Amino acid sequence: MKRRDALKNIGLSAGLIVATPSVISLLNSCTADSNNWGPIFLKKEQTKVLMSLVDVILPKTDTPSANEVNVVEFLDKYYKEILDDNRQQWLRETYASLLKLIKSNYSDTINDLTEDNYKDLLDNNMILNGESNDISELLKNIKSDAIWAYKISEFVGENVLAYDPIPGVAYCGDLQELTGGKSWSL
Amino acid sequence: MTDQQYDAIVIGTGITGGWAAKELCENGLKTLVLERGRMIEHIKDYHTANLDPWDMPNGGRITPKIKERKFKQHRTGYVTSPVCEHFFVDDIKHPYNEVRRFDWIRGYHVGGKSLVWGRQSYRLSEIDFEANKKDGTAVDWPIRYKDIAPWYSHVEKYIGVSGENLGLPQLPDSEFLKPLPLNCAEEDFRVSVAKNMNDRVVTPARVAHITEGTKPGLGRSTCQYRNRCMRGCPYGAYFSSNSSTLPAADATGNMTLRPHSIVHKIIYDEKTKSASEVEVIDGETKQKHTFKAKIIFLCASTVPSTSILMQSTSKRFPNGLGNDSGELGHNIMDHHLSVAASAKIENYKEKYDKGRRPGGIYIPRFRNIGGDSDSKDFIRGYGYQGGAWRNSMSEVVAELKYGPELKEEILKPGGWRIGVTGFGETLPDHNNKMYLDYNKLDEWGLPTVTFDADFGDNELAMRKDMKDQAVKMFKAAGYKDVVGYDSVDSRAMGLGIHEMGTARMGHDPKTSVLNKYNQIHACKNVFVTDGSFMTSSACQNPSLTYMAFTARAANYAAEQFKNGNL
Repeated sequence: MKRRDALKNIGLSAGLIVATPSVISLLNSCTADSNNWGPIFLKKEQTKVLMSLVDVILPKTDTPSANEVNVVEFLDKYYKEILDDNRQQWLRETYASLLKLIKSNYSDTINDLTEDNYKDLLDNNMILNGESNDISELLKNIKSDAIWAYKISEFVGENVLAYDPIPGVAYCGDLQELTGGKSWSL
Repeated sequence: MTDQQYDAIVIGTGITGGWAAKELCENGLKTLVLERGRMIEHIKDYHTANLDPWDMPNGGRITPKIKERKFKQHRTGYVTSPVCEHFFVDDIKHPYNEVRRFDWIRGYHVGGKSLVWGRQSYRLSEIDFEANKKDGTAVDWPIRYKDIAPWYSHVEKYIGVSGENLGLPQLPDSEFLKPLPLNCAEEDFRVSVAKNMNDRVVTPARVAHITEGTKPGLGRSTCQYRNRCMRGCPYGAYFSSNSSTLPAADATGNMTLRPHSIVHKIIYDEKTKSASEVEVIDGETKQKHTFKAKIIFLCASTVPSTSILMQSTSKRFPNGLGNDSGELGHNIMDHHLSVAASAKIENYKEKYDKGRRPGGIYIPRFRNIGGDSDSKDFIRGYGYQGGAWRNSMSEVVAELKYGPELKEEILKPGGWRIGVTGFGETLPDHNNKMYLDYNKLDEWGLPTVTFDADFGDNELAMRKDMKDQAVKMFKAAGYKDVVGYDSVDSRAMGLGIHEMGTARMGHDPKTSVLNKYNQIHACKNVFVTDGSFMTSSACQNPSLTYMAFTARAANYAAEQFKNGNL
């Protein structure tokens, strides 16, 4: 089953807000289906690191993880097709620096890195307040880009966030009654 | 080759071309409507109207190719979005020149910018029509509010405008459908301004949207609050030529619509002392045609209409048709904007907007309308447009690096913010101009337009007050994190997409191009009814005024035609 068709069908059957365990397992199978996917901008090791990072940033809970909605596939294509030459060059260089830092701090073999290693990487190198540097900027970009890609994925847009394609009316109402406290996806 | 004779020719299908076509056809005139671009059929050609972000490549982000081809359109930052970029021109295919920067934003297709306009609809007032005469600027408008008021009503009843009547002398009441609702943060601001500021009011934006019932046209019905207007509305809920006036003209059986027809010259007949035909280049085949008519309505939008008049030279008019005054192409105006303020509203965390409204709030002009409102630093005035919204995600997101808590927070709406941006009147100035460059020709061998214009001292002085007063209102309301800004250094005319004034109306043929019925003084069967006729800019969004003047001129033309005077 094609991922988009599967997700459309989930959208019809799973209700508005909560992804059920069966939905998650279907998502997993779809992700497995897309194993043939290969990056068009990132290198293989960089892709692996990005996949690990986005699932630490947005892990699987009662809603899908970042990888379950193919955030990395989306971002790799976005880097290649949307960003200008300068930005692409900066990304190439800074991803290379990040890989170098990871190898020197944790392991030469990217496959050996643990979830805790990635948490440690973010704890020590993503600077939220204070003087930043290229590595921190890249990590903050990965965080914000992953959040963006996650929220505009079809599954999250239609099933996790509150989806209202044709409101038909306009008024200011109670947040809980309208969306159960969630943001609108559109 | 010479084609058929018509009673009238309308050049352009945008917001004024559609109105000219409708009124002329409904008056029984056989009318040829010429459009330089391609056909856009209502609903059928709105191919992005129902797309969600995930339905578009890269979430709908603007591609490098669009930025490269549409590099001047992209100066807006929004018209090049893949959801609507197909309604804006390719700057490489359609070049123009700038002595001083001018952002010329255009759409070449049936419907023109009526498909993508901001839909804000405000009447000009007696204060606006008297202004030039009172303060000695440029030339006097040859009409007053009472002359155009019935035509505003005529247009508003047909297109559907939502809003609230306030009885203000500087912003006349309209024929309104029910207003868009304010959200709770905007209502809070409205109450605060009423309490703290005795010289101004907050009102729902007056927009050309059907908020109740239906309107004539191709099944025009009530707004569904999707706020995807710039893609073309499948409900026909906002006014466009495509959904409203062109179908009405078509229904009479009197309209012939011809896309891909680039008009470049109106031929003046020395014997009859009137225009006799228009010359057209087919945009696709490049074949030349001429069409004859008794009446010509030039509605190609300000700069193209002026450009056509400039190209229409003859023995009688060596400097362009109707250019006895030397004012053709001069006095170009736009509204000056990008001066604004925003603030955080800490209350109403349990409240949220249902529906995405196509408009927010408006603060009508409150400067230089007499008494305490008068400024010693500048003449004329400005209004504000704006609105309040909840940020797309919780502010806590900025403080977290990763994990389940972050994931929870990205799904929650953030706090409320409110913002307003000023729209200021620009004075006409003979030194602000456009002209033709015959050394740089376009693909069809036609001269390109060169702009040489900027805002002046009065506008720059006004901007300071625009920023200060916006900040003052938010502080008076007790809002936090009040930020005012003025991007004056990156300013350019054109960005308001309200270019106007290059073939102004006036009493005197020596100082103006058009008379009080939008006729060329010395060539009365040519009417110019797009923004080029504007004698002053006022501060209101101008499209409603263009429509009212077009309807008035078209009915006058039809009457003169029937009486044998044209």
